[in-house]
Amino acid sequence: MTNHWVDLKNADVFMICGANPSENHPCSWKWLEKAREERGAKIIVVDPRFTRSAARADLFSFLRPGTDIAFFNALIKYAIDNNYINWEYVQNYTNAPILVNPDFKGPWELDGYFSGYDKEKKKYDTKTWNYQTDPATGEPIRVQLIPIAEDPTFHGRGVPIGPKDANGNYIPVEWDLIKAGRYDEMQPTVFAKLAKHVSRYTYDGPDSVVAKVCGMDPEKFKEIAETYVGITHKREKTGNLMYAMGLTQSTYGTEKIRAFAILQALLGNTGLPGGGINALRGESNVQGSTDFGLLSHILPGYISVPNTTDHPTLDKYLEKSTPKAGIWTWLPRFFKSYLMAYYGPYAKKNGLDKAYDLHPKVKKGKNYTHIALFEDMYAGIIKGLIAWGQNPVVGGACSNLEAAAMDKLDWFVAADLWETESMNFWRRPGVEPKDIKTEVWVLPAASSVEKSGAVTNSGRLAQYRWKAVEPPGEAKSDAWIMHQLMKALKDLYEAEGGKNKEAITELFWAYEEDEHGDPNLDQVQLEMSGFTWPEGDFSWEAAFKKPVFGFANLKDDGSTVSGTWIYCGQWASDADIESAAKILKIDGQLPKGDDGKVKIPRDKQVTEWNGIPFNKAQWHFQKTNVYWLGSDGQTIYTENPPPDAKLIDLGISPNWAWAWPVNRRIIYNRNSVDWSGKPFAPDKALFTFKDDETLGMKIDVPDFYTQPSSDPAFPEELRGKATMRTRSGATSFFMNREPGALVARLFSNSMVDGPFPEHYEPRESPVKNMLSSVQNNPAAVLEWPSAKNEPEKWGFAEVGDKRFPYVCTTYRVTEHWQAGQMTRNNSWLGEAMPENFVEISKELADELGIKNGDLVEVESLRGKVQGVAVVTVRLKPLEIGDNGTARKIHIVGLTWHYGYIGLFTGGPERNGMSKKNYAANQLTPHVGDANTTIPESKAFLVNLRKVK
Amino acid sequence: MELSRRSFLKLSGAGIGVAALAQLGFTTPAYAADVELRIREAKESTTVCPYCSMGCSAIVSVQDGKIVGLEGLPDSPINRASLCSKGQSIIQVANNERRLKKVLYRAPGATDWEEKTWEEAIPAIARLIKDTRDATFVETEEITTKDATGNDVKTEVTANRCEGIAQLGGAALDNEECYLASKFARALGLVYIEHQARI
Repeated sequence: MTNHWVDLKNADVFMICGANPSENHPCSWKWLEKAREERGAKIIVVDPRFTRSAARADLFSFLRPGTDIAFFNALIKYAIDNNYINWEYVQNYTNAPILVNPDFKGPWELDGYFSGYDKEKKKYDTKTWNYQTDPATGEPIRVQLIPIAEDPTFHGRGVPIGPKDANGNYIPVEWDLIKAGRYDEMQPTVFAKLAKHVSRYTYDGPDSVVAKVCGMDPEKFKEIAETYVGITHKREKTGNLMYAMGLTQSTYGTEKIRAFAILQALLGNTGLPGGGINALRGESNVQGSTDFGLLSHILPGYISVPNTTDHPTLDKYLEKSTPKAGIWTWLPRFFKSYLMAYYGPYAKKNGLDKAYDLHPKVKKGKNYTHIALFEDMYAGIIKGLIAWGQNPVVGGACSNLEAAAMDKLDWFVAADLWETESMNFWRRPGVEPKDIKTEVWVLPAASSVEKSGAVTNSGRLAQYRWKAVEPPGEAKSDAWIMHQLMKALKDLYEAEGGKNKEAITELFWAYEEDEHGDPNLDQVQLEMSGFTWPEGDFSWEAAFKKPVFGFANLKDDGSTVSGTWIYCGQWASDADIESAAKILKIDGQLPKGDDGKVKIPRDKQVTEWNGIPFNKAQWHFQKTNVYWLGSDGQTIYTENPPPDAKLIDLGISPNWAWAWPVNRRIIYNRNSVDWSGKPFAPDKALFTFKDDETLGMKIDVPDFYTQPSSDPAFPEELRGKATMRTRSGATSFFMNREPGALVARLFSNSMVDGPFPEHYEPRESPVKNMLSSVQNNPAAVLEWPSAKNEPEKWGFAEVGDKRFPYVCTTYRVTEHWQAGQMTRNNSWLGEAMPENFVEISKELADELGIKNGDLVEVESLRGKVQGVAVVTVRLKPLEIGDNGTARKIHIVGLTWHYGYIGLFTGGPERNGMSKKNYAANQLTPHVGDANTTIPESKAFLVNLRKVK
Repeated sequence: MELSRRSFLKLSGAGIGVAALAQLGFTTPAYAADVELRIREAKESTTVCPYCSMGCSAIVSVQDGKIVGLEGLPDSPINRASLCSKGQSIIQVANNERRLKKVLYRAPGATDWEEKTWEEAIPAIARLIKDTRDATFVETEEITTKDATGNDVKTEVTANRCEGIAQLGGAALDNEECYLASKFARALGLVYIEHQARI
C-alpha cells in the first residue's frame, strides 16, 4: 500500500476492483464506514460477482473477468474527455508534459502491438519507449500542458496561471484539439499519446468497449466514472484504489495496476491521505517476506539479483545497476551493507569483491518464478524442495501439474503447523504411494503465539508480537530450524569441503543461542536494521553500541552493515526511546551520564529494561500528530487554535510500531502539496512550507529532499537556482531512476509488455479480442513446456471452446484463509464454512437443471473439482460482443481454500483424508503475467455438470 | 491504597492499555468492582493476527502455560479492539489436537509416516541438502559479451548457484525468520527462491 489501513478514513471515493475487503480484510471495513460517516465518502465496487463488499457499496457493476484494463482505460478517457484532471499535479509531478520519441508507435497504429516487437523472440525491444531529450542537458523536454509561470531552473514546472473552465479546472493549452479528438495534431507529449491510446476505449452506448468487452451497462459506467473521476480530480478530494489478486492474477496483471496508477496520477490522488494505490495483501507477513527478498528476482530491500552476463564482478554489478538519478543512486551503500551482513568478517579479511563472488548469480533472462520453478521440477531439474509453511498442492496454479512435479523430487522438507496436502502429495487421490520415490521430512513448527518476532502489514508497518506459550510437543520455531540446519551445514562443509564451500563456512551467522538452541533474534534484527562494523574483533556487544539510524547513514565503503536497507533504523533511536519513556512517565529512571544527559546503553540488559525491549518499538499508547483547520477551510494551526477551528486527526500514529521506510506512513507525500507548497487538501495536510527553504508543519516523515539550499548536501549545480521547495517538487517521485524525470510515469519503459496498458484477452477466453487482432499479451509466455509437451493434460481451451463454455473465477471467503491449513483444521471456522461450493447464476442453473444444494462438478481442460451448487443472483450472465453479435456469457465462481486433508477437506469427509481432491486450483492454467509470472487464476474456461 | 491494575488504569487515563501494564511488570491481578474477571490469574501479552495483512493486535491471556483467552487490543490504532471471525479463532490454532507435535518421515515408496527426532532430522536433512547442492552446483559459466569492435567475446565467470534445490514459503513467518530464510537460501546458492507473494 502507498498509504495504510487507518488512512482509508481520509478517502472521498473508494474504487474496489479485484478485491473484496469486507470479506477478506474484514476489520478494514470500519475505516471505509468512517470515511462514509465523516466525509460522505462513496464506495464503488466493480467485480465479476456481487460480493459482500458490493453489498455495502454505493455503486456496483458487474465486469467480465479479465477486462479491467478496458474499464480503467475507459475511465482515463472519461477524465480526458471531460477535462476532469488535476492539471497542477499532472504538469508538475508526472511525465505527461514530456515529449515522446518520434519513433514510438502504439497499438492504435500497429494493431495491438507497441513498437519494437520481435515476433520470433516474442519480446519487445524497448528502445523507442523513451523521451525526446534536450541535447544541451541530456534531460527530457517538458512543455506546458497548461499555462504556468515557469520556474527558470525546472522547465515545465510552475504555478498555473491559465483560465479555468466551469468546473474550476485549468483549461489545457491544446483543449480544442483534445475536445475534437485530434490527438495526432497535438505536441507529441506523453499526455497526447495517452489520450490517443485510450480514445479507442469507448464508453458511450451499446457498441462501446465497456459494453461489448467488459459487459458493463454504459449508463452504470458513467455513474461510476462521474463519481470516481468527477469527484476525485478536484484538488481537495482523494480517491482510493483498493485491489488484490483479482487484478494481479492475470497474464497482464501488472498493466492493470499501471492503468489505475495512471488514472490516480491524472486525478492527483497519489501521495495524499485517503489516496494512493493500495494492494490489500493476503497474508500477515507477505509484505515482510517480499521486503526480505524471498523472491527469485530480488534480494532484501528490492535490490535486483545479480546475473552472470551483466554482473560478473561487484564493480560491474554496481556500474550496471546504479542509476544516475533518484534514491537508487545510493545502491552502492545499500548493496555493500547487504554484503557485509552476509560476509562481514570474510569481507574485512578478503575484501567485498571476494564476498560478492560467493553470492549466487542467476542466468540472465532465465525465469525462476513459481510457475517456472514447477515447470523445471516437472522436467527433473530440481531435485530437492524446502517449504516453510507453503502448500502449493492447494495454492499453486494447475495444482495437479505441480503435485505431479513433486513426484519427481528426490526429497521434500516441509515445516508447518499441520499436515498439509503438499506434504501428503505422495498419497493424494489418484496416485499409488509406492510409485513415488520421494523422501519426505515433516518438521513441526511453532505458531505466531509460540514465538516472538515482527510482522509487516500491508501498510508497511512492522509490528512486534510476543511469545505467549510454548509450542506443542516437539514443535520449534522456523528460526530455530533454519539456525540448526545452517549450523549442521557449516559443520559438514568444514569437515568435507564442497562446492563454493566458503559461501557457507564463511557466512556471517554468529547469532548467540539460548539454552533451547534458539538464535538471538535481537541480534538478527540489529543485523537486518544496521550497525557500524566494530573496530577489531567482532562482538555483538560492540555492534549494539553503534546502530545505524536510517539508510541515509549507510556507507559505501564496507564500514556499515544493513541486511535490508529499507528496514534501516527500525532498531529504535535514542530519541525514540527518550520520547517513549517520557510519555510512559518512566523517563526518570533512564540512566544518565556524567554530563547529566540521558545515556542509553545498547546492551541486552538495558534494551530489555523494565520489560520493554526498546528495539521493539510498539509503545502501547496512542499519540497521533494533529492540527487544526480554521473556519475558512484554509488556515492551518499547529497550536493555539481559535475556538471555531476544527481538529484534524489523519490517523497517523508515528509512535505505534514502525513503518518502512524511515517510519513514513504515506509514501510519495511531497505530492500532497502543490508546487507553491500549499496542501492540495487543507483538511488532509501532511506538510506546510514555512518558506521556500523550511518546512512548517510535519504530520508524516517527508518523502522528499528536505535540505535547504544552504546545506552542504544540496547539489552544487542547483545552488543559487533552486530551493528546497522547488528541488523537492521537481523530484517528487524520487524512487524513480531517470534523470530529469523523477516524476509519476504515465508512460514507462520498465514494463516488458508496453509503456501503456493495452487490453488483451485472458489465455483462455470465450471471445476474440475486440480491440485488436492480438488475442493474448504478446510479451507473456503463453505456453510453458508442460502445455507444449502434453497439451491434452496441461494445455488450454481454444477461443470460444464449445467443450468449456463458461468463464470461471476463484476467490476466498472470510471463514477460511488461503490454502486452508490454518482454518480447515479449526472447528469454529470449519463449521461456519464446511464444504466447497460452486456459485452459479439462476439463468445457468435453469439452463442446466441445477438446484441449490445439488452436487456439481466443474471441469477445465486440466482438472475437475466437485462442490455444492449455490444458485445465486450474486452472479449473472453478461451480454458481450462476439464478432459483431451480442452473446451471453455465464460466469462460474468457486473458492480455492479446500483440498483433501484436514479436519475439513472441502467434501463431506471429516478429520482425515478425502478420496477426492477439492482444490479449485486443479482447474487453473499454468500461465502467468508477462512482468511477474503471477498465474492467471481469475479468468479461465470450464464446463459444469450436475453429479446428483 | 493498593495500586490494582484497575485503579492504575483510572489514574493514568486511557493512554496506556492493559497489555503495556503487563509488560511494565504490574503482576497484581485486576479487580472489577464486584465481578471477578475471568482472566484474573492470567498473564497477558500482545500478539498480531497471523491471518490477513491488516495487522490487527490482540491480547493473549495465558494461565498455566495455556492460552485461556484472546481478545482484540483496544490500544491498536488499526483494529481498535475489533477482530474478525478468523482473528477471534487464533486460540484454536494454539489449542488444537491436530497440530504437528513430532518430526515425521516418509521413506521413498512408503505408505505412511514414521516418527523421528530432531537429532535424527537435522543431520539427515543437512546431508540431503549438501549432496544435492554439490551435485547440481554451477560454479562457473561461459558468457558472451561484445568487445569494442562489436565482436563476440566469450568469458568464463563465477555463477555459484545451485539449480537442484528450490525453496518456497515465507508469508507466514516472522520478519526475522524471513530474513534468515533469505540468507540461508542465498548462502546455499539457491536461485529458485519463491513464496506466496508470487501466486
